[in-house]
Amino acid sequence: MASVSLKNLNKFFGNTLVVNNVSVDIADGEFLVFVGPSGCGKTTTLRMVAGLESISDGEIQIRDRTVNHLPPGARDVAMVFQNYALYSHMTVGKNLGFALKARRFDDDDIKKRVLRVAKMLDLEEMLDRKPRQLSGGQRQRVALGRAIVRNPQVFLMDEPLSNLDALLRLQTRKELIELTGELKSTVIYVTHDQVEAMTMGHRLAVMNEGEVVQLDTPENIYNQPSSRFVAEFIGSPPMNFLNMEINEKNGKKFLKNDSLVLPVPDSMKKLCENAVIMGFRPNEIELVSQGGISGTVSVVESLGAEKLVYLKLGVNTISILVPSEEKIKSGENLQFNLRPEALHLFNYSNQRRITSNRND
Amino acid sequence: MNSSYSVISILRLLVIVLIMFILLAPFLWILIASFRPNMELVRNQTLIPQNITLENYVSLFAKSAYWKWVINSFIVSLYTVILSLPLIVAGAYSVYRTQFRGRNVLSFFLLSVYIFPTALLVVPIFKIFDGLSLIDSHLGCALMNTAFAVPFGIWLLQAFLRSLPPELEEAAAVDGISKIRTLFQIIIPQAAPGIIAIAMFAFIVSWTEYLFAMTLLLSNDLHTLPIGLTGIVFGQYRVNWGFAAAGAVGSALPVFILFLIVGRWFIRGISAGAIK
Amino acid sequence: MTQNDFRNSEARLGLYLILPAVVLVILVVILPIISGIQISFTSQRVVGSEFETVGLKNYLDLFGDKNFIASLGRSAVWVIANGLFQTIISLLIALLINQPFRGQNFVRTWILLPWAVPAAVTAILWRWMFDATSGIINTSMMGLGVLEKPLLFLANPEIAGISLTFVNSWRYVPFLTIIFLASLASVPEEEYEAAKVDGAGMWLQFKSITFPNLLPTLTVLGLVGTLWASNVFDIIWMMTRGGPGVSTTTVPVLMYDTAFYGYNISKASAGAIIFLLLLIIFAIVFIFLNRKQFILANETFKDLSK
Repeated sequence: MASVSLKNLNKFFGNTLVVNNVSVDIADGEFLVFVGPSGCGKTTTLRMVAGLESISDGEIQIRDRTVNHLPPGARDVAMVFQNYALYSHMTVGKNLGFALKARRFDDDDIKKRVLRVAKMLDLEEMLDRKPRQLSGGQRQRVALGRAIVRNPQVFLMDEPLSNLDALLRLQTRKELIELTGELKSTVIYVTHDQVEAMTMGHRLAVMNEGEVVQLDTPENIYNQPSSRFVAEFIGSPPMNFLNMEINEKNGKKFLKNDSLVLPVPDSMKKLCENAVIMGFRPNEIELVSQGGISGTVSVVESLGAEKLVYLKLGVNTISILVPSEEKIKSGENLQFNLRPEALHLFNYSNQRRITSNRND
Repeated sequence: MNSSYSVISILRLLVIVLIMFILLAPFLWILIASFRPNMELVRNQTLIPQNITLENYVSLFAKSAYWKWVINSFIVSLYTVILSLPLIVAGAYSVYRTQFRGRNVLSFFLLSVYIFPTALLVVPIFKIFDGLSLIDSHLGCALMNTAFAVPFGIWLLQAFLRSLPPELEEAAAVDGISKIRTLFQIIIPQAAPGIIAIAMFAFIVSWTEYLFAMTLLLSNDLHTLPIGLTGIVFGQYRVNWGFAAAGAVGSALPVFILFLIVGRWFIRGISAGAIK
Repeated sequence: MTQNDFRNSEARLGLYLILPAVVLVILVVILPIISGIQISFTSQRVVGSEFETVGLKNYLDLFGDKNFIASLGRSAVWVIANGLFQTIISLLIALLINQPFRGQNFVRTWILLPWAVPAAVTAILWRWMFDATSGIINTSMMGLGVLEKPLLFLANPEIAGISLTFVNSWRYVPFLTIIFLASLASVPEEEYEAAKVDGAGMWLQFKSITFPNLLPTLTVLGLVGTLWASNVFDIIWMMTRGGPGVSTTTVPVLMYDTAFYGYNISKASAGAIIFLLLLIIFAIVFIFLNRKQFILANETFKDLSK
């Protein structure tokens, strides 16, 4: 296994910059997830690491060796594709052994390795079948097995779970975490699904419009999103945002809009803006019977254990999560409190996070 | 609504039956004619033959060089298929699955062969082939057929090649498998139905070819079926229809058998597996 | 921009793979053309005979040759009648048999039979069908009282061209139909379903879904089919030899006759070159007018390359 380092990667398609100055260091054995909306450049980045896409500018190193000019096959990476790219005219066994055969491994060795991987992935019974005789989950495992059998330095995975149905996806996600953990492999994983990213990645690189906008552990990204975009993209249901003015009264600062006034949290005392975007997650509120922020219920969606309630606060609508035991009807008035620690503040113009330890 | 729909579908079926009748009835009619004695053919005929005779087939099979022509035709067609397949597969892969400068120009260039008036090219071709000792040779004839089968064959194979996901090649590339090996072990097996279809196309182009065979094959021993058939039928002042009919049946028969075996693959092979 | 060896090696391989076909075409098509141009400037009568260079004489002779000018006109009519007519008929038949019906598989296979038999068979078949005294068409028409005397399909200069056009179409329409059918099969079913849900009628579905999807195929077949039609020789030669009189003598037939029966290969070559130039002009105009469709017909990596 090996470390991978992306240094100032750029990719142009014609005149369009689709990957913009991406720099990420991936440690040996790390599971790194590129996550972002479609068209954000995550797949192109992965394809550059694989060597399937040329590098317009920048450098890629695998185990401290620059691989920019190496063809895909010489980079010692294995890739799992979204549509699996199984060779439909070969049996599962042949699919698994094909890369080894091309590398002139001897037949006994191929057999041993294929069998070991088949055992690992519960595919022993399937070795003589053709891909079209397999279920979606089995095909996915064959695609994975084809990567594992080569024992590569790095695994590249391009949305490998997105063609599975919801239940199978959960199960496979768990298996994939266990498997890559056992193999201690370096994995670069691309997904648009933030839940998948949060549960699988040791670290996430959140991408938007070709740039890595935040690179950190799932917890840090969830707790301290670096921008409004990250805050909205990571976490479900998405964070609420309200535009707030900052007023000062008696030496104390307040966040204020047409329907609510909140004291600025102590940690943010040094705030110098006079308007901010305030964000809070729907689950970080507390219902109270009186004295809280008041809103009118517009829609109630039941999610099973919880209810997602849309509240009208003046001209804005926010969503909150409440336990499903709460009896709430639309049109009703609700009151809730927001803990100051639950607030995220973002700069009004550049939408970046306003951190607590700012000194200016 | 429903009744008008079924009226339309019955009408449609009738038109289809009429078209198929126009296309296939002549074959049936010539088949019947081939079993009639010659005397019956020049008189007004009944639909069902009054007398059935094998004399026409006896003259075809025993008294003409029919079997020699069939074998010659097979040899030329086989050469044509063997020469065309690699050129078509390589060319189609090149045009439709790789990127290089001049790709579009070259594919136009190939299709432009059909501009050239074949009936008029035979003179210079004869001269050039004479210099290459390709006159009076089945190979020379097959070479011409190949040149005219390849450009359209490349275009015919495109649908199938396009339907293959690019990830198949990318997966192979990441696994370190060479482009050539990928072509042989992944693309060609995946495109098998398309390749069967173009083999059939090349075979039929060659099987039906008349002009080059007539010009380039001088000895009677090398004549192909179209040449032999033309000779026995149109060589005489008065056409012997019974014999001509047997000859036509004898020349259509190999194609008929080919269609029975692989006919249904043709449409499948040129339509990207879109037809089940 | 940095180099990428993977893409470069792909480009090199692409070029190598197409080269054999290009070389073959140059060998058997381009070289003969050059040689034909050379011959056309000489006074050669038969292959191998002595000759001298005569410059443009053959060309000037041809432009004054009423026979040649008339054959150009007949070729033009032939190309329009065959190229255009066949394309339209094939498209209609393809649309007709595209929707499932009982026997569709049979039709899709056996419709091709007329295309797959040698022209000599076609010629026998239709000369037999058209025969004046024992041909089924004439005998049954007279039997039904539709005709009083037999119609001379191939011997009457007024209708011989129509008869030949019919026979030639009988031969090529099936093949063109199957290619259209293959192209129709690649139109995504969802597009039709979406259109039906939106309430689009048959005509609107054809205009907005079928036709645009068929356009690249239609363009390639329009070009290649027209060129095929213009060079048709064997079926005319076997059925009428250009007759009766010169009524079905198109340029290929006249030039073949001039070369091998009139023993004047240099004049025939000059005629061929003139015909070729006309076809090249047609092809260039056609490709230029439809260049978008041709490029489209060549695009595969739409999303990857740009």
